[in-house]
Amino acid sequence: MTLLREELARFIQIEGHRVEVAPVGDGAAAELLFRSRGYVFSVGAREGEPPHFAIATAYEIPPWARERAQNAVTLQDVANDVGDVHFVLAPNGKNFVVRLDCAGASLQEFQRDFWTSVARVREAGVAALERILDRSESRAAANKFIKSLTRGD
Amino acid sequence: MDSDRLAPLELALEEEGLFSTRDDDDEALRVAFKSEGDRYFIVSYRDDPNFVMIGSGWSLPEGAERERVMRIINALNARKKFVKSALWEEENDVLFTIELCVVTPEEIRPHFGRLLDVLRDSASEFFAELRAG
Repeated sequence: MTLLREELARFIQIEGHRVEVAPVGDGAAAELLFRSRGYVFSVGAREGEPPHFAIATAYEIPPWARERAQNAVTLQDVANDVGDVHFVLAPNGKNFVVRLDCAGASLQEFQRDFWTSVARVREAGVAALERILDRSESRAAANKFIKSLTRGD
Repeated sequence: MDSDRLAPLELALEEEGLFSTRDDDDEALRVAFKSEGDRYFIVSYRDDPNFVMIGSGWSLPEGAERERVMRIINALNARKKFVKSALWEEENDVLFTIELCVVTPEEIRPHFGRLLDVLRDSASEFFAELRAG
């Protein structure tokens, strides 16, 4: 019997992309890694009826914008805006993961919507990073303004 | 001429995590590849070694109105950096190409991801505009 991960790996390869496959845990699940548009995406696939799929990628937060508490709030705001995409901020605040769970979809349904789902993950990640950077930049600008006010001429 | 002239671009494709195939003949060197399921090509002509073209071709939907297609293509040509868009009427296709003059294709390699992005964007914007009616 062909494993889900093998069918999925073949699909991604037919679509033109190199894939690395690694079994996870008891072997019923696997992680498939591929690159697209400069990002490395992870596809989680768990055998079962129905199977479970997830697509994720990670974004690095520039050192000057790593304010963990503020960024956690920002990611939650973006998650509320974009719907069923989840964000996980690393404990060290250096990066965050964007994940889309595709529970209940058959392999065929998952493959049919695969690139749309990848685009949703990518766009949500880009939107979140932009918002983090916007907040940091506006905060930096506000700080400069406040300092210049308090310093006086 | 060096038959491995397109090798730097094959390496760029590998760095992008993409497979590619080679199809050279007496006239041209050609690399074909897919990204997110869409087909692209790279061509360099043997008698014009400084010219490199990266492109993709898309079938137009049945009944696409020629005047409308031309208006969208013209707007893309006016607005998009790098990309030349054209209607290839014989085949009922629309072509998006990036045509470059280089000493060596190695010059393209650091910019390859950006060029691929703009090719993708041109096609998706064209079809989004066409669908918008």
